[in-house]
Amino acid sequence: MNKIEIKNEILEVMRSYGKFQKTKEKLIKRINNLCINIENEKVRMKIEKIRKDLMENI
Amino acid sequence: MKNKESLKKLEVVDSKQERQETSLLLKALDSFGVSSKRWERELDFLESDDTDTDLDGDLDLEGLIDDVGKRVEEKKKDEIKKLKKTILPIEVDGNLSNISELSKERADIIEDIQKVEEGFDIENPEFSIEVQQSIEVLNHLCSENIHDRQKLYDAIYHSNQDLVPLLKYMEKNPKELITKVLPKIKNLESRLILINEYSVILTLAGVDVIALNEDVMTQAKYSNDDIKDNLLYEKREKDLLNSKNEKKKNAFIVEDCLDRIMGKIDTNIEWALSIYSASLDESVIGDGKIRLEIKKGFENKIREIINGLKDVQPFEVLKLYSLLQKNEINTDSIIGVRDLGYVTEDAFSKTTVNSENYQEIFLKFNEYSVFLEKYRSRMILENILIELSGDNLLLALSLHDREYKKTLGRDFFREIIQKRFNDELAKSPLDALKFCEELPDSTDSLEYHYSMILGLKDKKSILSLLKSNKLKDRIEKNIIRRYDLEHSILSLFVEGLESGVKSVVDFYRELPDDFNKVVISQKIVSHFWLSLDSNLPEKEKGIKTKEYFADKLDILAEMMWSKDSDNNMVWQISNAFTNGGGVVQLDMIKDIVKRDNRLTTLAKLNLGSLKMMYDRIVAEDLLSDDEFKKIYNACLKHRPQDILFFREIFKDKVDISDDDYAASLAELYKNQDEKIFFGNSH
Repeated sequence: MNKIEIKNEILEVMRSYGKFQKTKEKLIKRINNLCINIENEKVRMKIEKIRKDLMENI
Repeated sequence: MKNKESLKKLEVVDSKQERQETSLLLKALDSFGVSSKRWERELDFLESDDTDTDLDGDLDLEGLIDDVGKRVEEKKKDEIKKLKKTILPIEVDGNLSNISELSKERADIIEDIQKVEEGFDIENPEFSIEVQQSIEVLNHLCSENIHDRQKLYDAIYHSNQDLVPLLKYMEKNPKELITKVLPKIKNLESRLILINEYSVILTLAGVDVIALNEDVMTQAKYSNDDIKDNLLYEKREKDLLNSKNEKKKNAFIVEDCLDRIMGKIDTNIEWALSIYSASLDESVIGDGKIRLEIKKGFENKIREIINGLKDVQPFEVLKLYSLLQKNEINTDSIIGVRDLGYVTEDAFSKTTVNSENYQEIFLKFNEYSVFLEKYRSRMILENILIELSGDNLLLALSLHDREYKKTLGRDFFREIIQKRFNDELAKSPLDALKFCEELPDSTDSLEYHYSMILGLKDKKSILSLLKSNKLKDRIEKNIIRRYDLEHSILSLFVEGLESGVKSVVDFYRELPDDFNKVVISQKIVSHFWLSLDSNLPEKEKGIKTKEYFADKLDILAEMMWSKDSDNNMVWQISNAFTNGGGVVQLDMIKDIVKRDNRLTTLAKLNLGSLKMMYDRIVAEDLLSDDEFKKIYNACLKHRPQDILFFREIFKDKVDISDDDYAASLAELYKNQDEKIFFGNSH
């Protein structure tokens, strides 16, 4: 295996991860919207907290 | 060399772009925490002019790629986990069930997260939703039925509607099976099932495989081989296969194949054997030497497994052997027929049969007894049945009756049934009777029942049986003939007489009232005289007879005076008096006359005996005239037709006037039209 092939392999992995990141961001956005639409204040606060933790961690 | 030079040229042209890519790559890798030292080394390599990796050297670029791949996958997993953690509590705490729209969106998000986790690209799906769903169904079916092909087929057959979109897709794009469909099937076994059974699955799902156009099928076949290749040698190994070191390459193939086969032999042997078969397929591995090495290696390993198992789990050896045969693998060089026979015998001898496992054992017997010579197979079957007969004989007999009867013959079953009957009898005669009644009809149960009862040797048993309603019922229905039963009991009496009178008397007394005691009485009396005639020397006859009857007079008297005594009985007893000899006669007469209430029963004696007895009583002066008168009256009452003879016998002791005689005759004639018994005037 030559270096171009090696690099391509690794780049392929990275690209797939990048793709995953984009998908993940969209999912987070959908989760956020879902949280916003929850009227129950108490529940919303709780979810909001989880969401914040999530954003900090990811 | 040409390739190497052209690559170099390519690298010069792209050097700027390459540097940018390398830089980006390093940044990305850095974010995954790969150690800088290692990266420096790899970087040096990437920046050098050497375009070939040295597989035997220090650099481990493949390892690096794997490492990165793993880290990326782990990170993905971790992030998906967090996403799930966020979405899952929403319903629990938020009660979204009342808000259907939000609830649906939440369900959609969960589904999408799941798909991302399974490797689907939800942004740009490769398949239509229907095909995607089909793949999920197939994934599910494969994972649920991974160890049972037949179940898998059944499941596919029943789910064919759900699978149609995928199968139609594969029909049109058989090549896509490798590049698109297979990566979506979760585990390797499932993938292999899909490949191996591609045409079967198509057929089961209602696709007319034969009608498919030839090109499509050719492509499908090509795909299959291609996939097998992919499965047998993953990427890294493929590189090795491309190496120019033939010896190393071959050794690798052999080792790799064996590793894969043996790695699965414990958990999924069928899968392992299908890999083995594939590795011997010329279209998969073209080199005959390699195939031979794989074959040798495989046989050695299987032999090792068999050697390891045969003493501790012989059935596993047989199972393995059967599987090898089913897969048409030549077993001659793995285990010899004789050894296999020993293992089979050992397997069954180590197994205890009981109500829990008997079905399983019979199934095993049916499957594995073919490894044995006929007589050994028969021996094992006998042992199983004998062992089982302890608790579950009836079950075993009813379960496999016809088949085993043919193999083992009637006598075998008769023997074990007899043994079991004896065991039951030891518990109680009623248990034995119950056992007989429960025997399946096919075992000639009535015959057993009948012969067993007649064969009873134990007095207590027979008495219990005689008192049982079941036996009465059988006698009434003529299933058991009363005559035979009585005959059997008589035999028992005779034996009892030989061993001691007391038990015989007890037995006689305990016989049920409705039983024909007279027959037994006759038998006993006959036995007395039979013994006398045959066993006693003439000289000692008198003394011996006295001794012999010393303790038997009671029973004789008992029988004589029994309400059941009839003329036959009396005749028998009369014979006893006649034949018994003086000493016996005298003792008996003395005994009789001592008992006043029995005196009149002498009237039942036949005339010869009566005369003889009369003479003895007179000679010994045992009775008074009044007592003789009493006997005479009894005789007259009992057999008035013999009045002439009675008058003659008793003339010296009883004064019978002509008037009395005439009156008696008149009485006799008066009753002439009535039914008078004339039977016994010997």
